[in-house]
Amino acid sequence: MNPFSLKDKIILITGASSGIGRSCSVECSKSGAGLILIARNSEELQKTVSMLAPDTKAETIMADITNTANLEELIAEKISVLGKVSGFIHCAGIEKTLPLKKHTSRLYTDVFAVNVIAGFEIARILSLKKYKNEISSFVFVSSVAGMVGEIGKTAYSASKGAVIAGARSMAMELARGGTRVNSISPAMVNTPILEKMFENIGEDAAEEIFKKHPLGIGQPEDIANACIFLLSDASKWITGSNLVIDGGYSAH
Amino acid sequence: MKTSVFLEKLQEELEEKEALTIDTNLRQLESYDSISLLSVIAFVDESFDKKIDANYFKDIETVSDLMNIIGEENFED
Repeated sequence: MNPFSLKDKIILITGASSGIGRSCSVECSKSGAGLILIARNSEELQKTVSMLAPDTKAETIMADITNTANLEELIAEKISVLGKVSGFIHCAGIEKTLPLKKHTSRLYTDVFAVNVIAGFEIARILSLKKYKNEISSFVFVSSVAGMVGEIGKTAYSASKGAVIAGARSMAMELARGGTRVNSISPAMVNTPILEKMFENIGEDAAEEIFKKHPLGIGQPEDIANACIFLLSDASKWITGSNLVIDGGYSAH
Repeated sequence: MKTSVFLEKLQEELEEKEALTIDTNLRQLESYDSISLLSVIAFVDESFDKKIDANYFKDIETVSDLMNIIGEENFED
C-alpha cells in the first residue's frame, strides 16, 4: 500500500471553512481519508464539503472551538458515527498585524484562545484511548512568524511560537501511546487571512513581504500536501519536529 | 469630535513633540512610517468606528487629507 495514502484514516480538521483548513480537507479527502470538519461558518463549511472527493465520509461540527465546554461531546458524537480518529490538523487561526502600542491583553487572549488553546484542547480530547486509533498523528499549523520576527506581530508570533513549543512537548508525552505530534510553519500563503492582512497594511508593505519569498507566495495545497505526509505512515519516524514550508522565506 | 481634540490625539498617537495643524504634512514627520500608519488606522477605528483601507494612505499627505477620508461629518470646529 502507498505509504502516503490516508485511506481508512479518520482525520479531524479545524478551520475547515477557508484557506489552509479548506485545502487540507479537500486534499485529505483525495487521499482517501474520512473527515470530521470543524468551523464556525456553516455556509462556508458546507462549501468545503461540496469540494471533497466523491464518496468521502464526512461529518461537520459547526462550533466556536474557543468555547470548549461541550467540545468533547460534539467530537465524541461524530467519532461514534465515523470511527476512531487517526489524525488531527489544527488549522483554525487568527492573525493580527498591529503595532505593539495597540496590543491589549484582550488581543493576546483572543489570539491565544484560537491559535493555541483550542488546538491543544482538541489534542487532549483526541489523545484519549476511547477516541483514537492505536497509531495517530497530530499536525499543528504554526507559522514562520513563530520562528522569526515580523513588525506588528507580537501577539501572533508569540501564539505561533507557543504552538511549536507545545507540540514538541506533546510529542514527548504522547509517543508511548502511539501518537506523533508535529507542527508546520508556513510563510505567506494565498488565503483570505493574507488578503485581509494586505488590506490592513497596504500595497507597499505587502510588496515588501512578497519580495522576501524567493519562490513567491505559497498556495494552500503546498501546506495541505505537507500535512498529508505528516498524517500518513510515510512519516512514521517523525515526531516533535517543525516542518518549515516557506518558499525560502526563512533561509535568508 | 472637535478638530482641536483630534489634532491633540493624533499628535499623541504619533508621539510627536510639536503640535499638529490641519496643514501638517504627515509624510514629513519623523515618526511617520509603515508602523505608525498601522497605529493611525487603529486609532481611527477606535475613535470613529471606521476602518480605513491602508491603500488610501498613498493619497494622504496632510492631516486634512486624513480628516477627509475619515469624513468631514465626524468633525466640528
